[in-house]
Amino acid sequence: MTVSNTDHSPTPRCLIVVPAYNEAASISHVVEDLRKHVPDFDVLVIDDGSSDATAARVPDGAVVIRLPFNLGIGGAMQAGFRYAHAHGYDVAIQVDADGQHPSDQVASLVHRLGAGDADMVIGSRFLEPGGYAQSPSRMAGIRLLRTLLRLLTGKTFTDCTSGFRAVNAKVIGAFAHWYPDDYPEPEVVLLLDRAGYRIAEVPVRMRHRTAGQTSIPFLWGLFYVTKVAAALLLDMIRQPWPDDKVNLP
Amino acid sequence: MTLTLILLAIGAMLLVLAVRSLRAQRLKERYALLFFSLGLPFFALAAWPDAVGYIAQALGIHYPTVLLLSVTTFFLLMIFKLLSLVSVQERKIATLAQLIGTLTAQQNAAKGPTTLPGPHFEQDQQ
Repeated sequence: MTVSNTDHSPTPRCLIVVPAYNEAASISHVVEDLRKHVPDFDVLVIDDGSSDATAARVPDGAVVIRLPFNLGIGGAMQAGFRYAHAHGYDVAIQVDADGQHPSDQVASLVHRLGAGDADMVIGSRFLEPGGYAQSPSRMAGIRLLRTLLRLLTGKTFTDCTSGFRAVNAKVIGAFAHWYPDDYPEPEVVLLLDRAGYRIAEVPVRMRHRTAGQTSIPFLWGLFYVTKVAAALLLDMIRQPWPDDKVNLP
Repeated sequence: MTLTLILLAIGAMLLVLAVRSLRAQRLKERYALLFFSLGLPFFALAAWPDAVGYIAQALGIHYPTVLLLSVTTFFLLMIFKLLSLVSVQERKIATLAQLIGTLTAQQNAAKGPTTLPGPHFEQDQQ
């Protein structure tokens, strides 16, 4: 499936950023799936200091950036946004390397972004009832973060922890300049909203991971939610995007 | 006597920590000075336990505890400054790592696929 261009404006240049850490078992399938469903989009894999053969398993045609050591999801994604910014991409889409994000729904994110009333579009698992089965503890954590974000922004984001999202060139520039560390997905929602960017959600059907281990093991769930909640509260007193300039090549 | 031994032990521990870290190139001189300036007063206090009271009196501080709190606050500010430096350094290191990865990818693309291995750093063994 290719993205149609209904308003006859120039076709946007789209880059799919796939952050991967020890995902040798699934990365090949994920990239091939993306090339099958959105062949016009460029694919960039960020190998975040993997100790397995992740980089070697990336099929030809995709660009691979190997980070010299593990930076975490925030640092890996920012490398992708810096690449997108330096190469003048109009849209950047984040797709996880574990096979959970449906490549056949990447185009729907970009279509929604093309409507022009959003700077970031999140693929939400919870916009449609019964869309994605989660363990009760995980669901409770997501609900807690959703409630906290609602209190802080006055808006409802049904799936603030979803990493399946697309951003336009304006947000690519902001992310190239600064991007949160550790578990950035919920923080980005709050910071973008505070900085005046517009965020929309579209329903997606996600799969459970095909291989490897989740970056947030079950036992760390409570720690994760506490840490993210604390980070969100601290973000309220932080300047959304710091002034310090980084000289990008 | 017990107090003297405790003070000596704490002072020695701080100095040994600083010297070992310096020798192993895990601590810069300027930061080792912080540990020296923290450890050496413990030896002085072991030799002269009433020193805090005398110094407080000499400085016109009525309660010696206030003097200790002032010194503690000074060291807390030093630690805050150090953590601030570490936070900035972390950002800079991440930016450098991203640049290295991007430049290596560009170099590989120019020379043909997989002609150069990606950069790799050994994990720091703590």
